[in-house]
Amino acid sequence: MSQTLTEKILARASGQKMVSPGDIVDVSVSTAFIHDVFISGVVEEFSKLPHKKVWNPDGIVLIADHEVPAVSEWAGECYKSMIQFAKSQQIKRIHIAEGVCHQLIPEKGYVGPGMVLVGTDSHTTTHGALGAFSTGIGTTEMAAVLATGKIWLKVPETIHFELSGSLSQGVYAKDIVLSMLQILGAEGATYKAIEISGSAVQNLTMADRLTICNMGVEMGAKNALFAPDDITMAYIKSSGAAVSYLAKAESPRYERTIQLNLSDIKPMLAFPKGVDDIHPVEEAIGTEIHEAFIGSCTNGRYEDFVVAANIIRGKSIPEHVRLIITPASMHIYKRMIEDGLAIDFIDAGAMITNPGCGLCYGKHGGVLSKTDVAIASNNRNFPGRLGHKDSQVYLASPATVAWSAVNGKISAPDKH
Amino acid sequence: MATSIQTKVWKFTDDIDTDQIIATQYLVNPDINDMARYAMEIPKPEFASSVQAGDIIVARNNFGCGSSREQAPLVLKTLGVKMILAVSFARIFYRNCINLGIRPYEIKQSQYDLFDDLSTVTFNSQTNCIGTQNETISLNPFPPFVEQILAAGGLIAHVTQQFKANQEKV
Repeated sequence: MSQTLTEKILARASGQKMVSPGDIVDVSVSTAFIHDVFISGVVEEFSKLPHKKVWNPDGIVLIADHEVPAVSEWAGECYKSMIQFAKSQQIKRIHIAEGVCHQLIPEKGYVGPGMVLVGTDSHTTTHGALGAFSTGIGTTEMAAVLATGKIWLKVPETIHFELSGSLSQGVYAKDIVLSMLQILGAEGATYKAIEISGSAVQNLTMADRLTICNMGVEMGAKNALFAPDDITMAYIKSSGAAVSYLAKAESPRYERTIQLNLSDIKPMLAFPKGVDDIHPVEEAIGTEIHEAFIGSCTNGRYEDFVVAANIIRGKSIPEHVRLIITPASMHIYKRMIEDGLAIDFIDAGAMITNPGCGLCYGKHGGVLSKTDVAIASNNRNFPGRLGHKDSQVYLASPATVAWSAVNGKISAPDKH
Repeated sequence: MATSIQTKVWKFTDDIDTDQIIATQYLVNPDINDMARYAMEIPKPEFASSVQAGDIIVARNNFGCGSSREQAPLVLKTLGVKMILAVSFARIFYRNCINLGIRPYEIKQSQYDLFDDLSTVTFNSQTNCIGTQNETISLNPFPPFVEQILAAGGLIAHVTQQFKANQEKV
């Protein structure tokens, strides 16, 4: 039995021939990133250390995405603290209001296969889409990583999803990951890695894989990843990312394997009770909505807006619905303008916001009122996540959100 | 040096989340000692005012779940808690404990059942055993690497020690 992908990457990064689940290993980090909410805390912790200089300025990425434009009188200080830290440490990879961290990192070529990536954000699992080990950490840990370039990790057990078949009309990557959540629940992968492979994987684009790995953390996973293949190599060729290590796992020892035939998957929703309260869209058809949101690090990519624009083009959003479009990066935003998608959305009555995390963490750009019902393409819907604690949020694919926005009520994309 | 100490048990059930350990409204308080006065306000209102340095928390499943706030283990540390026994811990809380120098020991459900709330137990640091009224529970040692972090008093202290040790070599 060989090692899983996660074990192979962690063994290599800790200078060992092989590691097993439960081992505690001291791992070399390839890339560490910090966003605006935690930069002050990290800088404060780092200042308590005697190191003075970070381990490698080129291994650090600073991104202001949560508080842009400023949502409080505090935000401006966060940007300054970020810029000052970048200057004093000669960190060149700093991006203020250019996009959401989990889009910018792949897009700018900061992550490639085999790398070990850590970030001060729970959705750092996203980058496993490129065949990297990627996980979220706290501020104290980040300070130690900045100083030493190392982090201790407990090697996780791996849960394996084997995907077969092909997606039906109107069914997308979001529906795959919601189906995975239905199987595992919100704690089903706590402490564990999720590895996704199978014959269906070759038909999943990088955008699809990023969506799936993004929500790995919603199942409690430490990391979620795909083995690098031709799609990965084509993506990093254009992003300019380095290849750290091309890990392939051959008949490894998984904790368990779950078979998922994509042909059986229907358009799905996470109901407002929580991210693992998963039902087919047909169970909620006709529910009136007041806000529809397409954006976030889960589903705010160019491919998502193409799907949504093809549905929305030429139609008009009913008066009682606010459709909010939030591209995940300026690069995506520019493409939407150049290709006319932005005009399609505006003509239909949508609002387009700047790239950022504002609505998805309930701070700004569309927060919900007490009686609002929303359908959204992001990753979390626990009470109060997008605004008032009594507001109701259904999570769905961009296609389901787009059809629901057009109809003013929850609608199934495969019924059109 | 005395290797055995008498210490009090504060017993909790399942899913004590970080919001119960320290509620969101207190997080803005810049003074951690002041913030710590509100620790466990909802599940055990008398905890913060009565807990003594060295007391032990014993909990069931998923202790420390919820948000990743480091203030949760930090208020417990501030109140003098050095050891938490739980049937299972939430991942980030578990890491945060070690990084702050608190010992998070995993125990079995059957061992959890041996503890009575507010009872006094004996902890022997030499044998790493806890004596309850009826039985002795042996705690699983941490891997040497984690033990180093804990012995230093947390990750920042450990990284600082290592830095200084490396400098002396040069």
